[in-house]
Amino acid sequence: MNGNVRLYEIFEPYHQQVQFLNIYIREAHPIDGWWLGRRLTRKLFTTYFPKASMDHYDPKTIEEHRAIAGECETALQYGIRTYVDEMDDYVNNAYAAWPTRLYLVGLDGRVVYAGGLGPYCMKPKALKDAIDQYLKSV
Amino acid sequence: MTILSELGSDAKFILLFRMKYTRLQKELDRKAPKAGDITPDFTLHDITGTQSVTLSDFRGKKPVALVFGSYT
Repeated sequence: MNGNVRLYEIFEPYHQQVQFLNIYIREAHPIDGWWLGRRLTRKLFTTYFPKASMDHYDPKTIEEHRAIAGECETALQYGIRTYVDEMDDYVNNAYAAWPTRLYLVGLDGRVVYAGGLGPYCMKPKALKDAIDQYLKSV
Repeated sequence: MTILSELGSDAKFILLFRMKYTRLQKELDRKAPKAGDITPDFTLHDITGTQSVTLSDFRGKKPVALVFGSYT
């Protein structure tokens, strides 16, 4: 979640007006999945996502799920409480969120901004612009 | 495995990675809620399992930024 470094800069000025929910879903690159821990990919990964981990297996229980989410929250340290998707991936599936995605939800419960699929299309700046524009309109 | 063959294998992996990502992106973007859609409601718990949050509780009170991600 490299984007969170920049997301922190959005959280700071807007957290009084906007509720930020950090939602931990499925691991993107667990050891037993789409792993990037090989020589070149490890180097690229650690360069672009220095706070991300490459040393976790895909959690098999909700307790494991919460434990890794907790490690992630501690590592990122940007002060937003992390909520954890259930093992059935309900929220992940409902928002097509894996591996990362951003949304802004309006006061009426409708999507104001739907970001592209991360990491390549995850653009915190676009979220910031959407927040700015929305707050001016309400 | 020699370093050279390992690097070659990694380079191939990176190319395939991007292709796989592009396919996944097309599939998931089609399913994702769009601007103007009513958001699917949910209730989730925090990392301790003791504090919960329900998205619809913020309706009429505060806009919500949803940040989805993982640790790896």
